[in-house]
Amino acid sequence: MKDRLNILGVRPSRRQFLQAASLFSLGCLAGGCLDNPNTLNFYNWSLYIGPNTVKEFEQASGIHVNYEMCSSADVMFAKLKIGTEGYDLIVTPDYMLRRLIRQNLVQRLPKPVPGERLYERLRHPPWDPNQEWSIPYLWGTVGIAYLKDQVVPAPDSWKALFDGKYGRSVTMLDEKRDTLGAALISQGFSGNSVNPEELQKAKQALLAQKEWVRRYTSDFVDDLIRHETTLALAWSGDLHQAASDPTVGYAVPKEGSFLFVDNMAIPRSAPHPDAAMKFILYYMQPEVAAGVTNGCGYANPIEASEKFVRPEILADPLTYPSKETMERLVFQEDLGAGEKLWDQIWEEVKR
Amino acid sequence: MKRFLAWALVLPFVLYNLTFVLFPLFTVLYQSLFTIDADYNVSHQASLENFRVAFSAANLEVMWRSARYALTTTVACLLLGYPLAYYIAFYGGRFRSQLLILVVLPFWTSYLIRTFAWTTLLQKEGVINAVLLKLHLISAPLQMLNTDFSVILGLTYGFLPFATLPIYVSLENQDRSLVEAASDLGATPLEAFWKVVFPLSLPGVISASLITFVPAMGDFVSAEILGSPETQMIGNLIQQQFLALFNWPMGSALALVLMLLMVTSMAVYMLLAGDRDA
Amino acid sequence: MREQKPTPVWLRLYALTVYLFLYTPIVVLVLFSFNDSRRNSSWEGFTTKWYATLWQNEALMRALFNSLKVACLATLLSTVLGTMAALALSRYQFRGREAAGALAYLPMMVPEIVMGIALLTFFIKVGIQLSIVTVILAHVAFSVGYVTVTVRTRLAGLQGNLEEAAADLGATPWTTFWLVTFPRILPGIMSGALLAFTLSFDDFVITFFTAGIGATTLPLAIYSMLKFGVTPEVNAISTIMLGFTICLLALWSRLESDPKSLGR
Repeated sequence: MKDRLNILGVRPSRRQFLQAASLFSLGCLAGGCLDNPNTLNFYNWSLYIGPNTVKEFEQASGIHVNYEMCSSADVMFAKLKIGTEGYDLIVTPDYMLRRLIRQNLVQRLPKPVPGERLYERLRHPPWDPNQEWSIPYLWGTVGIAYLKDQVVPAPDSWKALFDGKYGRSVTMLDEKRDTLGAALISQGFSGNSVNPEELQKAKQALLAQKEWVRRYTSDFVDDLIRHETTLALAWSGDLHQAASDPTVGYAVPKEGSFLFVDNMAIPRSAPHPDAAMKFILYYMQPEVAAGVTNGCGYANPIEASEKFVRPEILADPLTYPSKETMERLVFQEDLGAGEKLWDQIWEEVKR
Repeated sequence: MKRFLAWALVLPFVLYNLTFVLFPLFTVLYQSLFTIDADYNVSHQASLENFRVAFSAANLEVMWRSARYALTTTVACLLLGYPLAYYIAFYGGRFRSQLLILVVLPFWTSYLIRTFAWTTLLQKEGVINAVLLKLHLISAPLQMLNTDFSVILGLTYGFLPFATLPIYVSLENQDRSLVEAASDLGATPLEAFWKVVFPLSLPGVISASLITFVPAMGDFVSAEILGSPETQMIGNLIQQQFLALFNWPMGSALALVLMLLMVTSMAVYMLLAGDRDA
Repeated sequence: MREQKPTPVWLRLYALTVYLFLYTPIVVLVLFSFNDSRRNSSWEGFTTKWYATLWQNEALMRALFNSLKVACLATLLSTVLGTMAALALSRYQFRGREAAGALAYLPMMVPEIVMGIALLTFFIKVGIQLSIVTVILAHVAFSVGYVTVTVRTRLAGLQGNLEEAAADLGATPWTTFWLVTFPRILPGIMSGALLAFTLSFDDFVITFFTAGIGATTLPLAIYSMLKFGVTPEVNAISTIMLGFTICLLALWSRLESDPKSLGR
């Protein structure tokens, strides 16, 4: 039999390879079907955690963590909305939590949390006044990042992003809440307005700005480091990744801006809600929260963690803004019925 | 008995395609006929509203731009891929399979990372500008990123291996004695190429064109990584509708208009190129 | 033996330029895997640390494993379905043959994004939970046509009618297939399988829309990282994949040309 096949130019080894490959594949599929009950499926952004946090949690609790990376909050919402089951712990922006609650996509936290450990301002936030559904995970500010040697004097107003003084070198965030919100504030309105006239004015400002905009992206840090753009609508903590480049600066405009808070919540369809709860309680320990801040540059909500945060980060106004700056900041609120109008305006801007 | 065997062999394939290709496309058609409410739930009222918006001036502009990009990409891929395929088929000799593998090898790194690598090359302080400056070909760095050029470059780069293969296959299959016969009859190498080789390779060229044009039309990755708001393609709009605006019916409508555009342009292409067995 | 004409200089240069075009980003990709910078936008120094930390990056490793799992299973299924279809379409006449053949070309006519949203819509409407299974089903959907076409081409190129001869000698269709047809079309099947595997392994768009939890493949993981913070680990994993492929292909080449290996 082997000889006959040889004459035709075929080596039996290829068939064996095919057979082995099929067995391997079946084995993989079978292996994937076994679900370890001591698991936590954590859905979060890339690099939005300390480098050792997950490992240390695994060692301390014996729970295996599957860290799934999220590409945007909207994708996360879309996935939950279509009924994707399996995520135990998600990180959701403040403005999205109410929407998730309304649409029955998250569940109440199974255990009470030590809310007194949170900073005063975060203890009774509008989206979840009593930590029933979530706890704050990390917080930061929205502001203007710029190249210090090119943008002189340093920008202190939203107008710097809109006046086109530096040509086509502005990067805006690909997030409707931040970009449209900033446009509203720059026009003197509330960043959470659902007033149609005010939104139209903000839309006009964004459309006029388009000729100065290089692109809409969350990747503004790259653009700045490469000196492709000079100004960007930015999230504060991301700039820690530009720490190696001293020419990048950050400012919170005088007209005011957003204090954004990302929160941990448990989806209604979570297969391991207790594991998620364990992680939440683990995170609320001051040393652990400080580890996350030290790792990714965003401030954590645990007041007592300050003594474990690296001094240079603690002193950095990027992560811990001054009291005076904090007063200019507002939360991003749930838009309720106004969401549709925002969607429409955003679509018109991006077209 | 033979007929039964034929059906038994082809039925799984047919059923699979009907279930997982044809039927899903029909669900898209069905979905495009509805709208959504404030909570992003699909309403139960059928309407053609989505199509009215899909054919609006702004959206048509994006469609037209996508078609332009896809066409330019296809032409570029043919211009780059044909000579390469010709070289490998006719002059590759013993190294033909290795040379061919070299063409396909880049495919084994991630498309996303390959496209991202272009940002490093094209940036103002990148290698290409540095070289051009050093050679004194330009006096100031060129703005190459976030332009039409960078998007088309990204698309061409992504699809070039895919375009080269069908052309190679049709060239390789050709009977070399035909070319010899042509030159024996007094044809110059150029004439031999244009009158013999090229016409015989047309099926491959058509395959290559389709295999480039179709995915390029619907691409959104290149435009997202290398583009700007002005270079948005229809793929970006569809993705946005599905994942940022949660308006699946609208996204479906846009997808259908895209398909319509594609089928039309392919029909036109087929008519122009003559009916050949691809 | 046909005399090999010398290669025209311009053609050689042209081909070289195209290869340069193809490989410059690859060189950058590999080079930047040694970049001592967290964000990987500009060169900041040489280091090999990413190759070490790569193995600790559990999310990335799992994504790689998922990609391999999906590609293997999808390739298996589409190769079987596609080969069977190719045999039927090439060797037999039956009603609906043309239409069935046209089905093979259908996924190639549909842009990935349309295919992706179509499958997503379909799965949701029918009530199938998104998971790694839906990804595999989706991958088979777009690659089975390619396998069919590849094997059909191979079948069409076969000369002579050994199958008829075997039947005359009393062989059943089953024996005829395995002993006569299969070995002759095996190169076509392997090409089709390789194509299906490549398409599946690097697929992003369709996977993006049909992946559920635990189905994150390498391209999906890379996309998430590209949006918020890609470290050189991604370059490292791409470089390793590239190196692995080169080794595999070199080995394959060696086996092809070494006459001794025929005896194995």
